[in-house]
Amino acid sequence: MLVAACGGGERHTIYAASSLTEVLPALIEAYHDAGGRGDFDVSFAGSQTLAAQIIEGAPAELFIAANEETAARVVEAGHRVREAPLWRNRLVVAVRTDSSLDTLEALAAPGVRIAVGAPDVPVGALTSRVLNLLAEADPATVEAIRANVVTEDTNVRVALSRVELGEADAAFVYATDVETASNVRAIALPPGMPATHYVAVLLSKASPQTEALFEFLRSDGASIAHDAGFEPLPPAEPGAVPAATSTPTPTP
Amino acid sequence: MRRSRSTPPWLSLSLLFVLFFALPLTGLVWRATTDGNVGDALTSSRTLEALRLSLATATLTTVLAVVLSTPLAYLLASRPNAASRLLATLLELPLVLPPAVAGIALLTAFGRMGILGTPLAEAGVSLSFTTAAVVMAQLFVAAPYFLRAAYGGFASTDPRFEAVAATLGLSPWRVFRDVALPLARPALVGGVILCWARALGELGATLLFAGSLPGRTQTMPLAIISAFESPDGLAGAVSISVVLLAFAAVLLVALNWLARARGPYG
Repeated sequence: MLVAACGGGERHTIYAASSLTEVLPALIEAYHDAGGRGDFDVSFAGSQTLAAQIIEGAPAELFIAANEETAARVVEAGHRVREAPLWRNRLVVAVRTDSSLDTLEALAAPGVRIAVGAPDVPVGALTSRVLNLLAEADPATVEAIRANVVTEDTNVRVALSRVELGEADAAFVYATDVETASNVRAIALPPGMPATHYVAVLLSKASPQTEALFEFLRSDGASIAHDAGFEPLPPAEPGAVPAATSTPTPTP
Repeated sequence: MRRSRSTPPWLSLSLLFVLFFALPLTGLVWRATTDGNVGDALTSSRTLEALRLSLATATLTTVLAVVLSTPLAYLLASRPNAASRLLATLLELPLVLPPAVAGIALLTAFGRMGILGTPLAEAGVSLSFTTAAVVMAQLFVAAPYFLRAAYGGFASTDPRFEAVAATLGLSPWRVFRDVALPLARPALVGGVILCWARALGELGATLLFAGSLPGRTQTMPLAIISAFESPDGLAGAVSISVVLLAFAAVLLVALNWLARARGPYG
């Protein structure tokens, strides 16, 4: 998709996790409204796909991954200039608004069709972690839920679309994804479940304009993301990427 | 004096074109042997499940395509009028549709909310996310390759052969079996190869209509996409790709050999 701004020939490529499909264009618009410059082409796909393409030399200047592990892959490959954690996103269960499903336990009933992310993509990895935690309290229910999985999709939007289309009864997706769909509502998971952390990685090909956008996302952009349902990061959570890791120390 | 063998001017162009195909395939094998781990891919139960599912569904699809398309193609070709030409063109539409469109089209017909899906769901039959859905997706995109080849084969045989056979007292079935079918044989065999190859490579329609679940709907192309999305990324994907490439190459050679082998009437 194209997000155009004032004049100029050069366009800057941004790779972003598919869960950012709605919020990132809004953020870029706000960046331009605040006087920011530069024309950006944004490519949305599963974070892992984008990471693999960047490692293979895709000309992206900025990468926003849906989890820290995927961001770390690009950093380890020596493509980072700077990185910054942005926001976090909770996992919920998406069902159609007219669905009779109301609780997590209801997903364990025979014949319920559930879409999840593939275990290797951020949303699938988070789903797997959450289900493992839930299994500590109620292994039988979680086992039944796992048995009801009919598809492991490679990005969160495909999993959500299964529910929107009515092909699947429920999907484990991010809270923000549910807000972008009109005929879907969320079943919340018990409190205390892990969330995914979005990380922006400024890549070695970055132009000054892309760097300015990167700074905007970390500062004034946060409130726009929060309005869209992305949650602020908890202060100094152990294990989180330290704010604004700077300067390249590429590990070969 | 012997005439020196002149190099045709198109030879270098042809060589470049061959390189266009040879380089990516070489790259695939090269990356798989350096970065990837073909041994792991060959012994991973996920790859083997996907390979088994791919071979089984593509073969079943091809059998269904041949059984269902051959009479239809014969029917259409032996009645060369505007209506049959229109129908033949309609049936070729999946050839030009992006596979994702085919997947969406299948959902609108056979999905839970689809035209036929709703009554089917009431009867307790649900097609999407099943192995049957994989075969349906493949059939939708691949059968037209066979149908087109068969239609062309039947349409280009001299109708006088069949007319003569009929005047000699052969029943319509015998005319079809003993005259039309052998004459169209090369076209039919070519169609089988195209259909099977297309079914084996099917990705987009399968992804949308059947989903991707190891052991049930995750065929090789879906497993390769899934591997590409994993932390192993390209290394994992190329390893599985090479496994598929090897199997496809062996089967293609076998099919081509069968195609060249002369049939009883050939």
